[in-house]
Amino acid sequence: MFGFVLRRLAVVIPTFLGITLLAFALIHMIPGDPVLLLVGERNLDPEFYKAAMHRLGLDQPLYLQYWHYLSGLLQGDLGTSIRTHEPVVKEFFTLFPATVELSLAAMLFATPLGLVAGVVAATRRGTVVDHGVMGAALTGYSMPIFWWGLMLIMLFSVHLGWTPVSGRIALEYDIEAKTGFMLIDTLLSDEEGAFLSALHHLVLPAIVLGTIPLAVIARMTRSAMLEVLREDYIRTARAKGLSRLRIIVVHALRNALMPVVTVIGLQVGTLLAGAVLTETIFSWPGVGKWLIDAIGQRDYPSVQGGILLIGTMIILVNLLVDVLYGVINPRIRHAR
Amino acid sequence: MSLLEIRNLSVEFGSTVHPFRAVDGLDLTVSRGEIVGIVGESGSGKSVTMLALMGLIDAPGRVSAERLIFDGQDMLAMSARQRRAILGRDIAMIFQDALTSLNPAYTVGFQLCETLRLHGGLSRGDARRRALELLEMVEIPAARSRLDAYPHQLSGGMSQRVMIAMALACNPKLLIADEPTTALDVTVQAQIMELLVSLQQQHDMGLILITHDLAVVAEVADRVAVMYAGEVVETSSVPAIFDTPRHPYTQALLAAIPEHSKGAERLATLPGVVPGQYDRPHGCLLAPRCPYAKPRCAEARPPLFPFISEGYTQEINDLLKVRCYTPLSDSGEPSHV
Repeated sequence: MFGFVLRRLAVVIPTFLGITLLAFALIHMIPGDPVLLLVGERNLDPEFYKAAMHRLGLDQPLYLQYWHYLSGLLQGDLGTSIRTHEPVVKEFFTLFPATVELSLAAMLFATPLGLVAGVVAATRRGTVVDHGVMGAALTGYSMPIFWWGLMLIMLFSVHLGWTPVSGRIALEYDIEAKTGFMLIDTLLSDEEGAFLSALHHLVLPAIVLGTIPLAVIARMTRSAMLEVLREDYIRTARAKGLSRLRIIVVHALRNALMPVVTVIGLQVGTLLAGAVLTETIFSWPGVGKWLIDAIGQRDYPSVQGGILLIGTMIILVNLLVDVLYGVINPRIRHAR
Repeated sequence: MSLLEIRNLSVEFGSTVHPFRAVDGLDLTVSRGEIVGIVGESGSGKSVTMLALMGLIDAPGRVSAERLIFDGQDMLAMSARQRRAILGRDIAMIFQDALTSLNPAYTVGFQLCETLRLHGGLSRGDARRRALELLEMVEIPAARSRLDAYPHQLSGGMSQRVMIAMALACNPKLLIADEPTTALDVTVQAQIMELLVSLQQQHDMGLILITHDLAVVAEVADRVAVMYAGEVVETSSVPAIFDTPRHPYTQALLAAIPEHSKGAERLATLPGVVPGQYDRPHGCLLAPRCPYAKPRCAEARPPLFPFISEGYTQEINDLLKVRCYTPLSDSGEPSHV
């Protein structure tokens, strides 16, 4: 198992380099620069501009800038935000728990529901239930997140008044950020009702963010189950006299999980992309919103660092998925 | 009393308007300690018959029968739950491709214990001990370590042994072996057959052996049913059926054994293919391919006729039935009725 993880890690290094190059190239391709955007074009003193660009190292050729960036990275330095003069890493990890909390909640909503929906659809193939579930999944998958989010806010927050419109917690609470996870922090604090308020705020964004993964997981589970249910070992299980439930859950689902876990892993990327929109709709103070602001301000170090860190997260999740394969599928675990 | 009695079993697939009869009016009886071979080419309905017996035909497949009696119980009247209680305990089945018939995600021990715990109500420890005994019974070397092996770590012959151990876990009264050796090497085939037959005798089981390997049937079976396009065309005893086949299809099947074509440039074949859903003849299903077909063969489907041969004992004559208007005589020529 250890060798397995090591081999997977070796593949990560070129991916990592690729991300830095791509992030660097893309952000520098956008017209404008941080100084221009901070000061504004109209009252810009050319001398001041020159000095500022020099101070930020932006007057150097691009390949040199990239080189400095890389050598900084190797020393564990992701740079300093041009806007706030705070280290990028610090900014990122202050906001990251909010995004993780939202993403986890979304997956917690999407995974069990998607699995159940997929299994139900597969076992009732061709029936009204199957068509209903798959129709809903297709609708969910095609739903533009921002529109869906606004519709849900209209219905649940404005009309029904069940959930708050935005933010992570009601204003009356002042929660000390010990872990950055609001649900945990509220539990640690002794403020009454804070946890419920945080939970209340989390529900709608989580549903919005989880909608697409839910649809993808349901569809994937269904097709994987349909494939597995045709296998010879399912016939064997039936010939043993096992109950239908045991055949589906123990014998079929375990084997159908392989592609589903892959998809769940891939969804993490979608999730972080979706988080940008969801966080913007719900004013959720996470890295998605932070990244959008950084791009707007051409805050090169923040954008590069943010993308790199998010990329790393995705790589790590995929690594985890690879390891999970081994757990689910003994054939992979034993392959040398 | 026979262990299994099937009368007029039919299995249909497809729409109710234009159904495809995979099995049509099949009769079969099996007694304890008896080996019955079911022979026929691919698509003749051998496996479907057995799946129907076990209640494993899913909708839209439809199963109907006049009688389906197993061990004195009417299986037609049973609920799905009652049927499941019999499956794996009193009726067990092994399949053609053992490698794919074992669940790749679980160890051999897990899959063995599952049956034991379900039907035997054994505790975890007892089930494991019994599983080990079973693996030793099917002569798997290093049985203890195999308990924790996954199916992909086993060879084809080894996994078929595991399948046999699993099938015999609860001492079934009837074992259905669906092409148990087809996917195996020739040398392993012989070992597995030998094992199956010796276990069958030890446990006094009824054994239904589905195969297209006539040599295997000739060696081990007591009786044979030959199937063609979902119908039994001849039932007979061994070795009578091999000495003097009465149905033209059986004759053609035997002639197709390579050893029978020694010296010939080409192997003997029966031209044409098994009729499908849309080209099923109105009369005898074999008529379009039969070298002896007469006009009347195309008019109406022949029933299973009893056949009396003076050279046979009463016992053999009792078993012998042929679905042919002009069954073959001792010399292999069609008789003229």
